[in-house]
Amino acid sequence: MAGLSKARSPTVRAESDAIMSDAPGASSAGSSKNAPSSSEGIKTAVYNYCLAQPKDTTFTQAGLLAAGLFPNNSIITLSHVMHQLCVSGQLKMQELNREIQWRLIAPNVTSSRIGLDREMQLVYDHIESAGREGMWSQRIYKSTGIHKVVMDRILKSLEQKRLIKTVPNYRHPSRKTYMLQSLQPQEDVTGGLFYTTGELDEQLVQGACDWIDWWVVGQSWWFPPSAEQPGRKRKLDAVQGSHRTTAAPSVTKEEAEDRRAVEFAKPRLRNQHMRPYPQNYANYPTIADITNALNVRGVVNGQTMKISDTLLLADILIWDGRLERLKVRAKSGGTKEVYRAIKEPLTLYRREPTKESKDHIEPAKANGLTEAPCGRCPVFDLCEDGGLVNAKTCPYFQEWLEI
Amino acid sequence: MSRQESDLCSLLVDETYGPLASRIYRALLLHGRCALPTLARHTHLDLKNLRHGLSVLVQQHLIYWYHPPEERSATYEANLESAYKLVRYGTYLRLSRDRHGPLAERIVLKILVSGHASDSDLTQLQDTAANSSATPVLQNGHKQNGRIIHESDLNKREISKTKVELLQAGLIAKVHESHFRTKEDNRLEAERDTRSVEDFAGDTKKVRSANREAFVDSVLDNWKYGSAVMVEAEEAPKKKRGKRKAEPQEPQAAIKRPRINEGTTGLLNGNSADYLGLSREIDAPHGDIVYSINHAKFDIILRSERLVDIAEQRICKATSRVYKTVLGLMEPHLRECRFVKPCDANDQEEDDPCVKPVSTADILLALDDFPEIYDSLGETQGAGSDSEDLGNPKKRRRKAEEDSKSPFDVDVGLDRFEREHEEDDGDDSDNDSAISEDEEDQIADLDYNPFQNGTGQGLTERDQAIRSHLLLLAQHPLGFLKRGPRQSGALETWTINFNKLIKNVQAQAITQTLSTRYDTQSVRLASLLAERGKLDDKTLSSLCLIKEKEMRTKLFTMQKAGLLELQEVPRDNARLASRTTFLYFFDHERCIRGLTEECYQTLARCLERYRHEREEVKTVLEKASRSDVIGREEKLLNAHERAALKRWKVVEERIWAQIGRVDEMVAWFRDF
Repeated sequence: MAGLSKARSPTVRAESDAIMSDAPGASSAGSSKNAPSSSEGIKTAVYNYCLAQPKDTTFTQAGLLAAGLFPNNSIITLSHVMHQLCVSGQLKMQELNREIQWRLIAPNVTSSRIGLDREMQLVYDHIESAGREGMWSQRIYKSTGIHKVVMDRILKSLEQKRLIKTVPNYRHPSRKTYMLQSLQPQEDVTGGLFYTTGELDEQLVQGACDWIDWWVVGQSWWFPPSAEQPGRKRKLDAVQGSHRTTAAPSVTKEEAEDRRAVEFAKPRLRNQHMRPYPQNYANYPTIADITNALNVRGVVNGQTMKISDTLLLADILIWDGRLERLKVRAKSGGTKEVYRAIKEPLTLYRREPTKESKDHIEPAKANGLTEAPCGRCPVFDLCEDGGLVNAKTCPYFQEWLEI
Repeated sequence: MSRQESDLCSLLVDETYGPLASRIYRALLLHGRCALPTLARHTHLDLKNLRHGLSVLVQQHLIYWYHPPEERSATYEANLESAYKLVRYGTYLRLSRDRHGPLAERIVLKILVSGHASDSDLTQLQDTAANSSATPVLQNGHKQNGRIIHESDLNKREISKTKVELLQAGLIAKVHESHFRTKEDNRLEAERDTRSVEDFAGDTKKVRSANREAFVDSVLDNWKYGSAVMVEAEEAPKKKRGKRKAEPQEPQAAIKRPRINEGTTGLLNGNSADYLGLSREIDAPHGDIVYSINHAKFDIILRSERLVDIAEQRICKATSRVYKTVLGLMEPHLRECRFVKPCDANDQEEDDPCVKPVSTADILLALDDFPEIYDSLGETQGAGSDSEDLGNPKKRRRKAEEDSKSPFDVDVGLDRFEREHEEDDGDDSDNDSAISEDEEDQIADLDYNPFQNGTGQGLTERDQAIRSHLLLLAQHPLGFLKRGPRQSGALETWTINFNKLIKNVQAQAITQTLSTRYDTQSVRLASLLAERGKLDDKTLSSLCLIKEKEMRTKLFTMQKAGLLELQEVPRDNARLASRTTFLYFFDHERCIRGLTEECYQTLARCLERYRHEREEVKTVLEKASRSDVIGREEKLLNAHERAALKRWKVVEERIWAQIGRVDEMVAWFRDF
């Protein structure tokens, strides 16, 4: 079928070209005398006229009549011809402000539709109407009313013709969503940056979160310079003059990275070196800063992140207890939200796994309740004095007391 | 009252005061308020034993009793709060020692051991010094502390000095008859003592009864805090007097009952005579005043201590020391950690009216100097040449900017322009509608320095440094400190919204529990739900970026444990599962309640295990405590016994330390 439609399309094109060449004559001849042939002529003339207009033009009845394409400006002829064109898939009818309009369907699309039967066209139209959102197969069944077996065959053949494709839907992974081959799925279908083929890329999220945490720690806490080179940066500043922004980075960048590398190699020690900035510190990173940093470093597979994406990650970090949001005064006079890392987060993340444990997460610090064996006991609810499970014979207590 | 709590409390009573007391206590818990004959039936005890046990319990404030004049016999009711406080006795001793010295610890110990103590009991402290260390409450590992003091030091003068110190700090208070009654009984009693509605001034009946209500409340207040008010009044008589006068009518007729004992001495003399309520403070037969422990004040002190720890954890040590000073200044004005405000108890944002603002000048005066004040923010001691600049926050900030900015110049830049112009902020245009006016003021306030552009009164380097710590505390999202409203000419003041702060800390405790029990992703889900309210799982998974399948497992686990709640909203009348929306939500209060119950149960299990362990080494312990063995353990105990004893000590320490830690959680969830 596909071969057939492809084979036919140039022919159609050639035909229409041929007609186009003698179209003026045909239209000017006033074709009311021999109805069938002239109707074909008018059709071709109208189609060519539409083709000649700029892309995405809509044609109204008045406009077409004004173009003088129809003999005697007959509305009946117009509606007849336009209907024919619509049925043959060359034009599309639409309604805007209670006025009927037509739009040209691109010739290659038309040609691909030529081999389609009515039902197929119906399905195709439905899928097309969903645009970049895609259409769930169930919805197609429902709205077209075609039997499921027939529908499956149609969808399969449309897919084979490369007219439609299935796209993964992250919200409903089990649903089959169809979309025109030429379209790119919308973000609320794919889920955005953190989804690959409809599946959440947890490692990517985790990596980006860790990176943000790491970066914000350096931005929002002050680390004293390492002991072996006190004042090194200061001297450099003095040598290179007052304009700090151009000269210093090459040295201080390394230094800062070194410092933080040390902190993250031994996560529990990092807060020993962290010192708070005074309250009026202006360089706490904003969400824009974080986004910028992420994009410059290409942390997320080299893709460009939007502020909304970073905001999602920042929220997660806040909920995880690794960042906190501060409201500080912005220069504009209002307030702005900035981010600060939490000095002692619940769980710490290692950049590199250590020898002792391959896990990136250092176990959380327990509190009074969870330190006791009861706080983590799987049979806590069954435990009672004199019961089958009780404190006297409790193996967890035994283990805990023998440490 | 929950089963876990009552179990724990009766265990505690049993542990401390033996089986007789605990039998009665348990019966009271089980059957509620009882008169003597009923209680005898429930406990199967003869009246002699029962009376004996009841007197112990009453003396220790472990039960309430009430004998209305029109009834023939008194009724008794268990007091859960004070029974629970048995866990905290060790902490009380530590606190009183830390704050007021070893002698204060002795006094508190004496009062704790005997429930309440009179003046003469306290002056006899030196005689009982040797005995007091053998009391059961000392299991918390404070045994040796009593022995530090030499008996010769304990003269009467010092004891009375320390006692007054403790009284002024509010750690001990004079006992009032009402302290032995439940809240409801006290109200009944107060209402009985008050004149009828008609006698009160007011145009309408409504006004009159409101006046009467206010009067009853003030009487109750006086009964409850009588002693504390009195001590305060002695410190600043004028101020207190004025306040008293401002209250609506105080008909002297309110005091119908005669004093139990007319002859009062000591602090009760003279100027305190016109205090209502004080007339019924319980005096010992010899005219002594009787003191008991003021649990509420200990809670406040304990809370301050814990808050300081948290400040250290979240910011830095120097800041936490400044914070300690601020809290110390607020403590004398606080009576209880939680004020029950019937009308607006839910209003988290409202300031606690009982927190008295503290001015910067007071803080500066009260704070001892220590070197970390200057160098704990954003700079090292190594940078000596710059040290004088650090006093000025702006210079420091500029310095800090240099430090942090230079390494990442490549990245930032988007609003570098904004930063460059940060210095000259001044206009008040407000573009951010998301932030409330109040917050806006707060934030804007933080930048305002009354000393820079005001009267020209400059701040010293030290003052600047301390002030920057205060500002840092005020900026913190947990809400450690709140700056008072800005008034021209007035001193800069600081206050704390304890409701908000404690709720935040509680949330932290919850997340910590979740993160150790489950994992970070569960914490994420819970915090997300706490912040956003009710959500279905589709929305949840798109916000938390966890795979839906995994997320459901986590949600289910937490929901099963009672930490999350699930609401079913049917979409149609059929109420089919497939046509129902499931909304998850996180209820802070319910979660706190659940965790508190778990804490109770954990404490009870620890105690049970402790008793079990003790039972196992009972014979060795008995032998080791024999007077001929003490001091000669090496000789008289064999290797096996010594090992058992050693292990026992470790076990004892471990379990009691754990009990203390769990109690810390209970304190956050319930008391603070």
